[in-house]
Amino acid sequence: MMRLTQIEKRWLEALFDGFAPATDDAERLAPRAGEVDPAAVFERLNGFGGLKVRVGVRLALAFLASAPIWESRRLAFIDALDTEERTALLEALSDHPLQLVQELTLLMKVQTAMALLGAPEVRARSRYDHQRAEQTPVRLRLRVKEVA
Amino acid sequence: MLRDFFRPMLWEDRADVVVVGTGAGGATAARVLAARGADVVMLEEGGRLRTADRPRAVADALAQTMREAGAQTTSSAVPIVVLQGRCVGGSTAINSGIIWRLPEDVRQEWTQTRGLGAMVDEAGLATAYSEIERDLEVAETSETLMGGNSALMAQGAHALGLPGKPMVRNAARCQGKGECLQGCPGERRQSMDVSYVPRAIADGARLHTHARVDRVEMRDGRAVGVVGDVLDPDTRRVIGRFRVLAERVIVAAGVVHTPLILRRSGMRGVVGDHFQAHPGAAMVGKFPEPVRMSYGATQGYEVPMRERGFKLESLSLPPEMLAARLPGVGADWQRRLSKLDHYAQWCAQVRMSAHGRIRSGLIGPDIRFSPSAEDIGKLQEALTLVARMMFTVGAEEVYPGVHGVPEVLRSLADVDALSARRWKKTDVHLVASHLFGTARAGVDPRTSVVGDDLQCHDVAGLYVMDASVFPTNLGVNPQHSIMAIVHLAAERLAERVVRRRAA
Repeated sequence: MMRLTQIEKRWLEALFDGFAPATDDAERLAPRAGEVDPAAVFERLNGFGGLKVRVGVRLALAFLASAPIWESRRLAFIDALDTEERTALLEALSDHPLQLVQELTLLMKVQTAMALLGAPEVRARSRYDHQRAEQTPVRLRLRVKEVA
Repeated sequence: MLRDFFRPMLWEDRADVVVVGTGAGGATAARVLAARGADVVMLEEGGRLRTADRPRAVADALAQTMREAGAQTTSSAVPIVVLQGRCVGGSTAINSGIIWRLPEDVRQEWTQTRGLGAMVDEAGLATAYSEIERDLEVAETSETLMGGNSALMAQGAHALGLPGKPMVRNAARCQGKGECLQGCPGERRQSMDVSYVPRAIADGARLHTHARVDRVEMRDGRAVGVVGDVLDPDTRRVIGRFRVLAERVIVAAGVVHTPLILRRSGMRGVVGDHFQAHPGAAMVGKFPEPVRMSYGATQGYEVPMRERGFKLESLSLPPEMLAARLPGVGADWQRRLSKLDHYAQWCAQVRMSAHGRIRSGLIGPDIRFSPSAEDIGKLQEALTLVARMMFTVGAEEVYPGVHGVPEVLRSLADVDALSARRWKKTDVHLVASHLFGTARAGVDPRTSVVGDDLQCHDVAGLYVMDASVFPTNLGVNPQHSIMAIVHLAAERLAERVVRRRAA
C-alpha cells in the first residue's frame, strides 16, 4: 500500500482545492466539508499499481506542487497559495506550451475527479444518476440538424 | 533459480493440464477440458471477486481488478493506456461484453496466406460459436436497454446514413445499470468469472488465485509444469512460491504477459514481437436535454466501418471518469460537472497497422508501440465523424480532447477545425484494450511461435491460448474470436489428454 507524507497530503489537498474549490454557488458542483478525502483515494488507487505507477504519481504530485517556483517564479509550493491563485495556476498548467506539463496536470485532474465523484454525496448532487430508476425506453426529442 | 531457494514453497499441485490465466482464452480452455474429463488446474494472478464484494467506486474498482490500477501504459513520451483485467475472468470481467464473430475476410486471410486453416476451420468455429453464444446468453441490445447515450448515437448514425447497429453482447438479461467496468451488479453479463470459470470448477477443475506464474518448467524439450509466486491477497507482496506439475501447460495470461512468461522460460525467436492493437480515443458532447448516461448498456450501439479501418462505439462512463474528461478548471469545470446527466460519449477504435513489441523492463513490462501516420489519419477521420454526428443530433458543445484544436467546439462549422491540419500521434490520448499477436500462430517456426493447434513449435506440451496467437488484429472486438478459436483447439487437446489418461 501507499502512504503519503504529511507534506504530500497538503499538496494533494491544495491541488484538489484548486481544481474543485468549495463554493456556495448552486450552479457549480463542489465538495462540502468532510465529504472528500483526496489523499485516501490517491493512496488506494495508486497503491495497487506497480512501482512505475507509485513512483510516477508521486513525482507528478511533487512536480505540480512546485509549479509556483518554475512557472510563476515565486518561492512557494502550491499549498502556500490561496484558492484563486491555485485555480489560476492550474488553468495555466492545463494550457501549458509543454505537453508534458499538460499531461501531468491532466493526471492530477483525473485523481481529483476520482476523489470528488467517488464521494456518494457529491455524486448525488452531480445529477449523474438523474432518474436512474426509470427503465423506460429513452427517446430523445432532439432536433436533427441539417448537415452542413 | 535463486528465488526458489530463498522463498518457501507454500503449495504444490499436479494435474493433466495447468491453465495460466482465467480470461476469455484460459477460462474457455479450462471449461472445455474439464467438461471432457481432464484434470485441470487454473491459475490466476489476481483475486476472485464475488459480485457483492466488487467495489462500486471507480478508483477502488480499478485498483482491485485492473493491471496497474488502470494505469498500464506503453513506454513512450505520450504513452498509450493499455487496459487489461487482473482478476478471475481477466478482461472479460471489466469489458462491456461485446460479441463479434471472427470477420470472414480475416478468417480467409489466415487460412489462405498463413496456412492456419485448422485453427479457424469454418465448421468447427460455427459449432464453437453456437455453444458459446448459448452459454453466454448472447443477444442484441434491445431498444429498452440502449439508454440515452446509445440512442443518441443511433440517431446520429441514421441522420448521416452510417451503417450503425445495436451491439450484440453476452448479457441477454442486462438491466442497464451501466456498471460493466465495476462488474455487473446483477451478474447479467456472462463474463468468465460468472460463467466458464464456475462451470469448470463444477466439472472438477481447481482454481488457485493470487498465483503469479514466473516461468514454464521444461525437461527434454517438453513442458512439465509451471512455477511462480504466491501473492498476499491484501498487499500483493510475494509471500512464497508454488509449483504445478502437468504434462500440458496452457499459457493464457494475455497479450502482454504471455510473451513475458514464455521469454522467462527461455523462449526467443519472435516471442513478444508483432504486438498489434486497436487503440482508440473518444469525444464527449453536451446536449440540451438529459442524456442519462447512467442508464442503459455501457456500450449499446456501434458503427462498424472496417473498410475505413475503424469502428465507432457508444461508451458510457462512470461519473468519476466522465468528470475527468470534461474541460476546464475551477468554476468552469464545476459548472460542467453540475450537469453530468447531459453528456454523451462516443469513441473510435482504429485497426492500426503498426507493430510493436513486448519485453521485460526494469520495473514491469516494456510495451513498445508507435502508431503510424496512416493510423493517426484514420483516427482523425473517425473522430471528425463522431463530432459531426454529435452536432447533427443537437450537441451544444463537443470536447475533442485533442492537442492543437480548440478545447470546446460549439457548432458544426467548428468541426472543420478538426481537419485543419494532420494530427500527430502526440496530439491524442489513446487507450487500447484489444491486443494481439505477441506469440503468433503460423507454419514457419522462424516467423511464428505456435502452430495451428496452438502448441509451441519448439516445446512439446506447451500451448498458448489467448489473443497472443492471432497473427493480425481483427478490426472488431476480439473476445468471441478468442473463445471460439480456443474452444476448437481445446477440444482437440482434450481428446489427446483423455485418451492418454485412459491408456
